[in-house]
Amino acid sequence: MKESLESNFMNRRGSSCFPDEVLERVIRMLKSRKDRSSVSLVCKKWYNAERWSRRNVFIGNCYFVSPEILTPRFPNIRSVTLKGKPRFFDFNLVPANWGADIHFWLVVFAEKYPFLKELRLKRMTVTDESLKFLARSFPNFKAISLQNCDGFSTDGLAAIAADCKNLTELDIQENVIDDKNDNWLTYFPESFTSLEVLNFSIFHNDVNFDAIEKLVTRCKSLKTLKLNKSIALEQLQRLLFRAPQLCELGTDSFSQELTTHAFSNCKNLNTRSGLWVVKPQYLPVLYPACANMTFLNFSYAPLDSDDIAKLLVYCANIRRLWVRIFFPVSTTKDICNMLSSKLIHVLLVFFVSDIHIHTTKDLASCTNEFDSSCYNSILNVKNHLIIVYYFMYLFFFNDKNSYRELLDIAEQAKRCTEVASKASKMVEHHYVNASDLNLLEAHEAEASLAGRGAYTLMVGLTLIQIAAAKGA
Amino acid sequence: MGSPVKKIMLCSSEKEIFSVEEQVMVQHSVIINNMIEDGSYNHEESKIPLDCVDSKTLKKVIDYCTHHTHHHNDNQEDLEAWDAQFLNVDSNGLYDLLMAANYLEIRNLLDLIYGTIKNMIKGKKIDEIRRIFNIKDHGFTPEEEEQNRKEYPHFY
Repeated sequence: MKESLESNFMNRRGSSCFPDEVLERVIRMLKSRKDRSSVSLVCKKWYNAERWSRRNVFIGNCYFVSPEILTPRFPNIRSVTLKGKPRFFDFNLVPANWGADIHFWLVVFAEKYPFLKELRLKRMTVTDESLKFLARSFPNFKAISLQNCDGFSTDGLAAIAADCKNLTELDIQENVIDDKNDNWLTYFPESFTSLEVLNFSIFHNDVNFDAIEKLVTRCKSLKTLKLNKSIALEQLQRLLFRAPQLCELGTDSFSQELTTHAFSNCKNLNTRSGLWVVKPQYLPVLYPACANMTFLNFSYAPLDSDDIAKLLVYCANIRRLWVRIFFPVSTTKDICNMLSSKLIHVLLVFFVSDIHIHTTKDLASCTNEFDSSCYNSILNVKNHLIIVYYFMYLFFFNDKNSYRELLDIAEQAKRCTEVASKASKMVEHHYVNASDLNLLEAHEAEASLAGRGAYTLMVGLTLIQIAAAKGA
Repeated sequence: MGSPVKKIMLCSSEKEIFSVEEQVMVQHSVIINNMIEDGSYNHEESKIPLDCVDSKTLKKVIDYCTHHTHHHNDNQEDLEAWDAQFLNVDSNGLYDLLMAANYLEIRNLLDLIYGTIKNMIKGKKIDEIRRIFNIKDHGFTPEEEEQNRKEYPHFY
């Protein structure tokens, strides 16, 4: 059929026009941003159909576009994702009052998008005023996600809890906020039961366990629960008992005794993440829950390959595994070898992150080792396996690094990125052959730099960024 | 035996008459369901004129509705295989089916065709999409088109 269709569609009618409603319905089925962008450039008619049918928009940098340009082009937006400050913000390298304030966007949205349902913000400045305004302005508001945002306190969260009657998602991962009101969770009204996603992992404030427990008990549709370190494992056990329907669970630490049947109540659990602090001897508690696991995110869990290998034996249905590689790379090789023999469909994401490197020699040996031995063993893993690299090089320099050394580092960073780009090609290749995989995470090759004595290192920074860009 | 199966008459653009089980069309076509419900169809005399649907297309549409009425309990895979075979038509055939399903408001057939068209767009470059859908006049000014091509070369 393909060949015949490719000749010329609808030529007989002498018209290249779909009825408007048909075009809009078809376009609405296209989910990827890339396809949406293509469609909008095909012709004026498609451009218009696309903009009218568009329900969500992703803005990678809040200074790329203004709300005054956005809203006339896309009149029917329900979901907005906005990113603000550069990544250096995470390392306190962005001055206070840098900008990326959400408020003036919200003011425009309140007027143009009264039906807004979803707002996802990353590294934006969000004040309590903004959160209160948000809670008042959008009666159908359902999902809020604030990641690495600053400027608000628990007062703002209390306003969201009190006024967003239909909230299904509250995601406040990785925020440092002022604790003005530790009872903010009690502001959810008694009648409130709609929550499906509650994520406050890596949230630095304490939360009121009683309020959490009550909330979890009455929200019967809760599917995702990610907790921070203020919830003890014994409390976790009580929550699991209250919410047998949970599919996705994240915990901060995992280093106290739990009874072995702690997870036996949760038959639907398929995603596990977190475990920032974990002692391997407690992992067997997880084994009974592993049979249904499709996704294990251990990217922050300090586990070695042996622990992971023991756990994987119980994971018959795993589709995605995120692990963190510690050098030496034997870990990677072990896991790769084991996965090869397991014949499972895995999307494996290697986080290579937070490597503390003090001299160029360290870096050189790391990249060399990674390049030859690790890369080869990854290549040997077959069985519908998709490998996604996530390179996050964090270089911690001593102030005495010379300019010459920085050049060397830039050169090394470039090589790392080349490995990543080889891997991306491999991903594309595998993706073609793995039609049964339903998830492919974006891969990102990024070389970023943070360090003490940042001023003296600005030259090196530029070099590394440029080198990385070339490599990618 | 129970009462005889109730039939309705559909008339194609070539004035050919098709006699179909009423239940089959009522179940699938919103328009025909409405006609029967509001009493505007008289079983003794009426035929439903479908001036924009030719005989070949109407026959296919009736095939689709009949199969999905009588086989709705089949397993999903069998139904999907049947649908794929059913839509194995040339581009003109697909367009005619789309227009007929749109006119008669046969929602599941429409969704099926939308999905097929979506797959013809997905992952394609703009020049390819324009060729497949025979879009000669894109309606952008030469300056806009040049600007777009310059700004998003990898989309073309």
